[in-house]
Amino acid sequence: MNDTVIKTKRLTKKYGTQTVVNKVGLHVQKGRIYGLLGRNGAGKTTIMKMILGLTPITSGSAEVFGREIGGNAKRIYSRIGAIIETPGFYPNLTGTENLEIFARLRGTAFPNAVKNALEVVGLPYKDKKTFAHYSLGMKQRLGIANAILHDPELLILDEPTNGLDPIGIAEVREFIKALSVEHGKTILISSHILSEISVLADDIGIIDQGVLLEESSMRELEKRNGKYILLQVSDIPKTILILERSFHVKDYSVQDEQTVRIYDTTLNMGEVNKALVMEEITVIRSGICNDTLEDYFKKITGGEGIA
Amino acid sequence: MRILLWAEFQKLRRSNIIMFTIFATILIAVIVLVSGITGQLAINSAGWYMTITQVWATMFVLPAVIALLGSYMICREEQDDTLKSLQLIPVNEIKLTVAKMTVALLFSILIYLLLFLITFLTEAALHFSALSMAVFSDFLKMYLLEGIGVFFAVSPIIALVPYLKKSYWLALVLAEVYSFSGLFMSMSNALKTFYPITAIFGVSGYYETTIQSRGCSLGILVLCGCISALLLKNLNHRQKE
Amino acid sequence: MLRLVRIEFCKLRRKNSVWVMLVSAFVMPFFAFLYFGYLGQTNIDPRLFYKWSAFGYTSFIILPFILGLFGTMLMHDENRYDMLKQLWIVPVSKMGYFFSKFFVVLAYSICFMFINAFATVLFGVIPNYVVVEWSSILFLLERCFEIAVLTAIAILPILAVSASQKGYIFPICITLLYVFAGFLITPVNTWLHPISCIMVIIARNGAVPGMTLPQSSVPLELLSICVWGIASVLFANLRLSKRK
Repeated sequence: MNDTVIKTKRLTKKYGTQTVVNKVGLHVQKGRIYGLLGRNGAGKTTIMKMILGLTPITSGSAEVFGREIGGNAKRIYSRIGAIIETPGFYPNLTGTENLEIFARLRGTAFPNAVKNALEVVGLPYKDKKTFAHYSLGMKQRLGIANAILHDPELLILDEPTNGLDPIGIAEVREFIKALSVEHGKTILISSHILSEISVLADDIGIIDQGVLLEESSMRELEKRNGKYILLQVSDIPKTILILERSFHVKDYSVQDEQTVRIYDTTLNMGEVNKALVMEEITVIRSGICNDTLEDYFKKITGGEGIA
Repeated sequence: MRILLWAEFQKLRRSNIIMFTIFATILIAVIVLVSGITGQLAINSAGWYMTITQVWATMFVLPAVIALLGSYMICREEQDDTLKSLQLIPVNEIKLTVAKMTVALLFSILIYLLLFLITFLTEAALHFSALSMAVFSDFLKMYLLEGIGVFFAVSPIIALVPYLKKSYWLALVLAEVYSFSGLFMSMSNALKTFYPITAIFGVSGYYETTIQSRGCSLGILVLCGCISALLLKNLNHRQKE
Repeated sequence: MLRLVRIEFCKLRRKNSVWVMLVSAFVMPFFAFLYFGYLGQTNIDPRLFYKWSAFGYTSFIILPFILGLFGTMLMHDENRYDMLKQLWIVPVSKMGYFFSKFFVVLAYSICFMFINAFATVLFGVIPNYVVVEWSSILFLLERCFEIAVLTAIAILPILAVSASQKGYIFPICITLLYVFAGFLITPVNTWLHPISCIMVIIARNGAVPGMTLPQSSVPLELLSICVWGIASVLFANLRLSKRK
């Protein structure tokens, strides 16, 4: 059993001479939430469209459930639910009627699928309001309902909280989390909102100007960018020697000629300082630091922040 | 396929376009009747109303209305941005298009049936004694064949709309000029047989022609259908690339 | 007002279908060309040729239909993209909005008829059907201008209907029927329908040969057009002020 649900290899998309997506290699693991983070126009939607086979791939490949979409559409699509950009529906029909059309076209087996899906996203069943009169938030919810209608194993959600109010965002976040934790769904979610990804995702991919800059698990990222002890000293090699010998510190990284980061925050700093001073090393600064994802994002995208 | 047809009908719910086409059909009948009554023709000669209504309707109004209805349905998915969702189901696009065209054909027939019903009842009110079973069935056949014929004659225009990037406007102008040109084509016997709009009359039996030219007219309409099928098939290919 | 009209023209940028629609001005001259070619006539009375290519079906059916579509198109774009709200808070007065559309339609109508006149001369002179005479060409231009202005006014009801509606389908059906009704009603009664009124005005003093019309009192026809025009402006005013 292969545990990678989505795998792309050197996925590239060019419009004329402009490269929108450049050699992206994504790996989405089964049962996890993968957050694709990037600014507006970074290429997130294009990547999702290529994965779904909605837009031709210029070069490279994208595999879903171990197969390429082309030719296997019927089998693979029934296992995927997706929202790409703002979802479109028939404006003259109500939400329920819209979903019924999609449910019947899919041949969904469960009789209460439409009702359940609407319940999950918090929209009324058999309402009289037509889609044309829906608010932006309701439209988005209906889009999500359509994506989960047929109980798919994989959800591909392109900015699902777009247009929702803060309470709506929190609700959507809750049930996305629940879908993953309770029902074991695999979810690929894109967003330009960093905080959203940081609370939701298990794995994260950071994309900027079509290039995947970083792909790692959230835990690893936190480890690297979360809490650490920053030690600024006059002599790095000597310090490391002391740290390794006397304190058995293995998890550290040297930043420059004077700075070292220690990721084991349980270390007794009093003892360390004492030991260093005894070895005639000047301690310029020592203390616990906390880097946010925001800082990290700025750093890897070359200075530009994100909302 | 049945589900697709069902879905197409569902999509037309609450859609005003159906109301408007019915409204337009009734108004044509009324306008012809008014002009017929003021000109004394409708009252004096039995059968005039039923004959003239279908001619004017086919020459001026209904081809454009049916083209509008058809192109509205064809462009629907792109207009409402539902194509992505349908592709993900996945829905076979050729089947989807066939379903749409079938619904358009059904509507074309229904519109003509409605027109038949109105004109027949009016005729019955005006000259009840002149009506017979033969008149009824002859006219019913004529209207039915025209309903089918009009659909085939305008189908290339419907198929052309997606290529025009959602300009229904152009399609409408095209449909109107196309149907209205039938007036001039009917002046020459050869053109009358081969021009799609007048060919409808040849097939429906309004023009009294030979079997051969009737066959030619039928061939032309079938050719129109083939052209639109080709256009639509090509479109689906183009979208995939 | 002038500013509004100029803005309307700006909105037409990159709308190719507007220009393509002008091509239909060539339809009738072309048919006239075919028709007289079919009859094998030369040295036709220029007015007879003009009647075919410019005064007949062009002004009866094609021009009103095209203008109706064009007007609906102008109105529909703003409705579709929900622009009206933004316009009202600029603020743009509702009648100013309506009339700016009307002037664009008028300008388009004049363009259309001049293209038609040009095509008429082209198709008449090149195959040697009619002799070039400045007086007859001037007559053609003058009448084309009249048709253009009058038809633009006659199309006001359509413009009013499309201003009151969100969709485009209903106004289009109305356009079709309106044009069709005008065509059918003309042999019976000319002052009921604006389009048939135009016919009478164009054919006044027997200027167009072979056009038999039941009535021929120009003032009455003008009055009828005015009544229709004013009624539609009032209707548009009522509907636009009710709409949010």
